[in-house]
Amino acid sequence: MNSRARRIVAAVVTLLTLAACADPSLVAPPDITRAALFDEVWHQTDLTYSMFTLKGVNWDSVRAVYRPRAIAASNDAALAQTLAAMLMTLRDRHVSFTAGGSSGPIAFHATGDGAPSGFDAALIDRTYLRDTSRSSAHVRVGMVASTVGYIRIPSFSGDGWAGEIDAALESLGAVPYLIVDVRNNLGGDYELALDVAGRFADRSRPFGYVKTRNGAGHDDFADRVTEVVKPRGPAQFHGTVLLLTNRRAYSSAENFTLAMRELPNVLTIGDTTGGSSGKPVARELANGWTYQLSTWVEYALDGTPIEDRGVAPSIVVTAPADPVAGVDPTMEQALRIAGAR
Amino acid sequence: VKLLLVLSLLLFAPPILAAQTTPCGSRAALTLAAGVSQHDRADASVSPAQFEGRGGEYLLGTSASIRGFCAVASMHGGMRSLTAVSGTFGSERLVDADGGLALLRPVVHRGVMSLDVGVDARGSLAATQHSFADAARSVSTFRLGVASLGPAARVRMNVRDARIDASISSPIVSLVDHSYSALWSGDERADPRIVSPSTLRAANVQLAISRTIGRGVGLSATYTASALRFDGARPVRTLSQSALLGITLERGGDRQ
Repeated sequence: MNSRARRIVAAVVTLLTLAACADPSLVAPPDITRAALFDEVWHQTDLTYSMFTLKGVNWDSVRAVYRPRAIAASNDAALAQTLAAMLMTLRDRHVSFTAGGSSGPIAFHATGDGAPSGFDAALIDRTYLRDTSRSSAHVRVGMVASTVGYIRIPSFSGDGWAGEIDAALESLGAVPYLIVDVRNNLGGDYELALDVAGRFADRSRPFGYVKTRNGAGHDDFADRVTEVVKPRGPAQFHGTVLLLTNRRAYSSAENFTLAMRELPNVLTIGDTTGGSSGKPVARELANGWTYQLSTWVEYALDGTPIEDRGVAPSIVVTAPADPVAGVDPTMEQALRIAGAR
Repeated sequence: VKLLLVLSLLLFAPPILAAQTTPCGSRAALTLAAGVSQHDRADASVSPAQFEGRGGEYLLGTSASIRGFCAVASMHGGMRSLTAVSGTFGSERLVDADGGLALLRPVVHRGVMSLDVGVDARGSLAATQHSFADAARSVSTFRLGVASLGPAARVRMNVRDARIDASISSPIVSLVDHSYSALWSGDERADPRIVSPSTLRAANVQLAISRTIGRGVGLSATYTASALRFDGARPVRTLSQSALLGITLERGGDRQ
């Protein structure tokens, strides 16, 4: 190659390298005016949210009501409150709005959420648990009668701690009855909940199904996906499990309850779970604000949606705990079934 | 359909091989290259913003002359970190790979220049892990997979001891699997949909300059660019460019 050709080749390579480092604009930069932020939240919710039909929400009407309020918002705080209020019309605990920075999420709370739950963890520890030395970071473990073990799972937050259930089961020994208490469990990680449920499964069993939103229409869903609980961990507990639930068991705790309910050695006692089952995904706005939306509808095997209905127990006990008398009626019922009363 | 008909006629027409003994310029060749790439993406499933970033790019290419055709296969990809071009958004990690197989036939040969045309079957897969800027630092994974078929053309030019190859392809029918919402571990099944150019438009361009430095061994500098516009319910725009330097091993080359 002569020097001229060499220079041409070098120039072409340099130009192409520079071209490879250029920043082309593929979409218009995000707009952060009040109207644009409102439209983005409304439109993404319109495209993403999975339970418009189930909850009977007319999203176009919601837009007509809240858009003028958003545009008229006097400051960012007022705009955030308006956007949050719009999302709260979905009446879904998995929908939340966070106005960036150190702000906490604004989430939906039903009218009854502020009422006492009727569950008193301290009462259980004080009155029923004989020895709590087996407890670990995520579970409260002990014996409540000579033949009845007790495991309380206050939350399914985090991941990778299902092994604590293995340790708890090992420490309790070969008890014929085990009370598993998920009352007031607000949920957490779906996979973790199923991992824990797998500690009680004799074999793979379907327990429900989900349909995930996959199109612009409010009723566009992908094919149903069957939910299956499978044996997990080094050993499974095959004695009788008495699962305690109440209205404050939400989300992954409900997935857990739904899965456990299908196991032949499990009896559910207490009150119906909270009925909050959406699979949330995060979305974000150009000003750093974020929000979460449910993307699926979960059903029991008989086709009943879990959202707003919850998972009903086999034996209903709704009477609240009485800390003065030192009695938890749901625990008492479980102990009676276990022959310890 | 007309385009496919024309391509079919070209593919099955007698080859013009007056001055070139093999359609690929050699019986077989293997290219290994590495370099840098620039990625610009706007995927409405993930975020309303455009993200961009650079990272390493690796390419493996091979070609072989088979019965009057030049079969060219290549695969390139890499992993990179992306940030939003504007606005306050989270960050992304992109893992992508792109592979293609083109079947080309020489149709024009004049002096040092030749023109090949044919078809290009191409597949690409991009997995985007998006870390949201929320308090929980939520992380979601999204997928875009495209398999496509379309016409391809290549111009080759010999300039003294260097060879310049410029090729272009564009799909006319594609199969697209695009995450509508974030993937979850319980259901990572593909949901492919056949789309026409009215929904998916794309172009792949490659310019390579190679020079023989020894018997059967050459050095190459390659620039690639891929642009995609997908107008599904969640639109996607991407532009990927890379500049690569590599080594080419040839067997039975015309220039040897």
